[in-house]
Amino acid sequence: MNFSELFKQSQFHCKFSPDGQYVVTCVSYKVIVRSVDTLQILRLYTCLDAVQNIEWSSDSAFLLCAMYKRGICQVWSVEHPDWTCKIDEGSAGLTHAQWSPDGRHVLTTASFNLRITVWSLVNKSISYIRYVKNSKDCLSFTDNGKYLALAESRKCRDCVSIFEVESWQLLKLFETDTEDLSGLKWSPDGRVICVWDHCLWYKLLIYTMDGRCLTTYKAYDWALGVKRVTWSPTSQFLAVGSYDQKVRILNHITWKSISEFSHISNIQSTNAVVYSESETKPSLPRTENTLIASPPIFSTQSKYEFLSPPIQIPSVHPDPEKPNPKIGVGWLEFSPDNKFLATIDDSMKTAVHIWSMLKLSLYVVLLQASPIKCARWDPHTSRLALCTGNDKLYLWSPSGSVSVQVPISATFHVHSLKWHPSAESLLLMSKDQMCICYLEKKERDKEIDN
Amino acid sequence: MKNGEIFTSHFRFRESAEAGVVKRISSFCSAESLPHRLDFLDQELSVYGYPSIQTDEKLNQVALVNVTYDLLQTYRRALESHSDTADGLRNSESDAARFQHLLSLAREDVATKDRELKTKRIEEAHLNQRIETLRKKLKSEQEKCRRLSSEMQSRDTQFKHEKKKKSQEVERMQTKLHQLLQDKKHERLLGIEILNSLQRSDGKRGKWTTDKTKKNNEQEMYQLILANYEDSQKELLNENTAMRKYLKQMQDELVCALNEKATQRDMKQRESRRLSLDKIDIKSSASVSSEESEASDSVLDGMFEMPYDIVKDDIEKSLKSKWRALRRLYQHKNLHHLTEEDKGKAENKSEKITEYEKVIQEQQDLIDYFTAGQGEKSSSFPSDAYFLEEKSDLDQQKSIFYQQRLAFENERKVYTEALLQLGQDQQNFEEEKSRWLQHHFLQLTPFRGSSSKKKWSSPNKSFRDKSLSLSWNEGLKNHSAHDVSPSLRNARGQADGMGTSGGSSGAQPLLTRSPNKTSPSRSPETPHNPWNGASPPIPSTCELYRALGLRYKSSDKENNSSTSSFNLACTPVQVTSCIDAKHGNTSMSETNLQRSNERIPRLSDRYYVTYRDEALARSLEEAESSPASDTTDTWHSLLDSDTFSVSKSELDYRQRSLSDQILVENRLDDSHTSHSD
Repeated sequence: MNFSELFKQSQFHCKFSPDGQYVVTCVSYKVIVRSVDTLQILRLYTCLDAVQNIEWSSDSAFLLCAMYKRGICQVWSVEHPDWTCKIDEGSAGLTHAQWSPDGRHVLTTASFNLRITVWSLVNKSISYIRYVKNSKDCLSFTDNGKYLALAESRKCRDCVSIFEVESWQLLKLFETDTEDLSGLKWSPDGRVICVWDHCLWYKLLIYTMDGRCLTTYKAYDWALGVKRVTWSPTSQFLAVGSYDQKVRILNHITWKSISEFSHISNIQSTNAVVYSESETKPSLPRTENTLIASPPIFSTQSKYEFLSPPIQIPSVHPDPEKPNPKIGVGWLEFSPDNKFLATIDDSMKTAVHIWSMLKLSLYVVLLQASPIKCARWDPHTSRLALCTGNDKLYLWSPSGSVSVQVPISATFHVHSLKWHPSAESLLLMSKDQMCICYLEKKERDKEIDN
Repeated sequence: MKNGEIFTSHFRFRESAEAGVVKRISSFCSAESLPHRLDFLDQELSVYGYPSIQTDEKLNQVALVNVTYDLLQTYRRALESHSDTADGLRNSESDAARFQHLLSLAREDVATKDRELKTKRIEEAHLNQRIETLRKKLKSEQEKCRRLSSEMQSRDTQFKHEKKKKSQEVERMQTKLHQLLQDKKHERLLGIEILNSLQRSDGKRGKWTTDKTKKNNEQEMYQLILANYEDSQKELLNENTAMRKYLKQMQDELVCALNEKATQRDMKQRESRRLSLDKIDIKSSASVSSEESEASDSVLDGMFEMPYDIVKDDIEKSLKSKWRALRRLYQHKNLHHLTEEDKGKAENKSEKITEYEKVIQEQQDLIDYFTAGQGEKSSSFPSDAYFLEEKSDLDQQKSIFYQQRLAFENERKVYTEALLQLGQDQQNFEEEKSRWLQHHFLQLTPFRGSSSKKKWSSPNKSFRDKSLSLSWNEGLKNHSAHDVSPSLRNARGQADGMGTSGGSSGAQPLLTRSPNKTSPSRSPETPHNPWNGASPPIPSTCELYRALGLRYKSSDKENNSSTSSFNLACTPVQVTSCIDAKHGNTSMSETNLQRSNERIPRLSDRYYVTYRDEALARSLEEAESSPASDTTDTWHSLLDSDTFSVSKSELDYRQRSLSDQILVENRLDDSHTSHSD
């Protein structure tokens, strides 16, 4: 495991290109494109303002930089650094900008969800999509990038419209049986669309592309409902995380609940392995002035220990007076091989639950010393990387768990991480710096062999 | 009259009463008034129904007696009845008293009960009151709840209505804003500034959007939907066929199992018939077998390919019957096994098991006894006793050993003295020789080669003499090495700056280092272990040991340097790994760690080689540059542990050899001189 040197970045705007050749970092208004292999600067672009969002086009040839404050986007070409493109949403304002899957159209959302504007970089044409609910959860492209499903609210009725991406033609529009639709997602195989209601109503609906409702799933009434929904990579499972600290797994044929994974703070099950991170601080000779922080050289050591049940996971009970209570499954993701589901309950931020999808049971709990900031699956195998905002990187795989200290600088606290598309390296980000962690290739190959 | 007597005897007071009675009686009648009194009596008696006691105005004595007797009788009876009634009265009186008492008790009881009742009533009233209040409260709460829910509902509807209104408003505003923006846009041209437009990612040209393309798109969508449906149907079909196959397989297996059982049973039946066992059993088994045959009738293979809703009942029924048969068989088998010979076998086995367990227990006890006994007092005694003899033996041997050592040391002292003497003699001889040489030199014409040799040989010898006094054993070896190749010895002596006596001890560790460097794999063979405790404190051994210790220390240093280099290595990754024991695989990161560990020491090796004490390295190089045979020889001789277990004979031998060598050298020198001559 090797680490690159540190590079500056701002607001976690660092991304590997989809083809894995480049890595882009933003430092305020500067956009730097580096080669992943050599880390040499290949391109340097200067934007008009501090970049607030950056996105690679699907063919890794273009970069979309959004400056929401100014209401403009700039597009840069990696191959032709002289080529420029500026998109100005004008007085409508800009709240969101993204690529269409073909990499030749840019979708911008005006303030107040007034409209989505589709800018073509091929023929400068502009099309508007109106009545959008919101542009984050209510907009979903199929994996092959052919169709777009968009949640709209027309005449106070929730609808879903299907667009053909190439021509931006509205193919289908159908009403949904929801009170206040808050999100939709295509299944990875593009057969169905999952639609869920606002968290006040636990309601989940599955629609085909032509508007046929296949099922309506309701786990309970009254209490706060769906928090997050994720499809498994093979579209065989739909995992629904809700405010009742449970994940419900629906199957893709009958759309009935196969299993309920409840996140209890007290683990009794003896089948699950519990890794607990234990931190040991090297004992320093006590100085008179104890207020001085220990020098960074003496950073804490941490290792994983096995715990045997029963185990109490530290949990925080949310304040019932406040809206959006910090409870319920707020993050859940399937491993790329469909074998595991990793979840984090917002009231137990220090623990990742990993569920085996073969046995439909709790498999592993990773209990960290501090709240988890970011967790990501390896794009190829069941290997989970996570960080907790300290100078360590944690990796889990079915064979074991490991904590690695980032050796570059003790002040480099990992707040976010991203996998390289080939899973050979990891992009680690602190608040204002980033570095690349190279994992060994052979090791991976070996694992694959195993 | 007898009665009267009894009366008088028994009741004395009755006598006085009788006297009274006599008086009374006498007062009633006198002789004169007899007829009157008789009349009166007669009348009185007639009143009581007695016959007259007078007959013809005369006293009928018989009648009188009879009457009197009868009167007496009746009187007695009356008295008896009187006493009876008196008794009865007394009884009833006491009864009455008792009842009175009971009555009073009962009254008290009643009073307390009354009181209790009253308190209960009060309590009840209280509770009733509370219930009432609670009921009222409940009612009010219910009402409140109803009111609130209705309020909520109304608010909800109101909110929804407002929301609808607001969203409509928003929608209207958005449309207006959109229009306004669009109007503005048209004035300002497009919001996109692009250097030159791009090609499509697929390289194709854009198409006009016509109705046809629109229709095409729609058609494509429907085709896709259809394809999706087809795919899912195929998936389902595959799953279905797999399931059917499995069902069939299961049935086959079931039938197979049942058939096996049935054949076995048939065999048994035949046997049982032959043995003419219980008829009932046969009957029951026969019935079972008939059921089995029914059950083992397999559903035709084709049945599984039929639409399931048609054959569902048949398949279910057949499978169920099969399962039932199998279960019955299984139960029967279990019973059977238990009832017959197996039972005896099992008993035997269990007996054996208990026996073995006993044996094991005994063994365990014995083991415990022996293992625990070493630490305990009770068992330490015999063990001590057991070793007592050997201990004493050991002590004796020790004492002998110490004596020997003392003697040995004395001897050695003598030898060292002798050596010193020898050295002195030699020095004298040397001086003489040098004088002689000088003398010769002055006489002869100078040849370069021979003179240089002579020049070097003399300081070398002087060094050897000094070193001999310090570490004669080493000196011996050095000497022998010197014998093999004196030129090298000289050269090294020159390199080390031979003038100082410490030079030899300084050179020694360097020599010991060399094999470590040239062949590190041999280092574990270095026999420093046998010297650890057993080596006698001979100065030479000590010195060598120190030298080895130095080497040993240097190896320590090497370790240190390796660890430090581990820290200094370009990627000092501190990896703490945890192998998942439950899932039983080696950790991927552990292998990683191992790899890094492997790599880092290698790095450190290099580091060591390049950065170690430079002087040392240089000297090592020098040592290496000299003929290898010599260094290895010295090394081997140094390593030769036999040289340190010094025995007297060997010492003698060495002494002899030393003197021989000196002689030889002298002769050589002589020959040199003669040669030069």
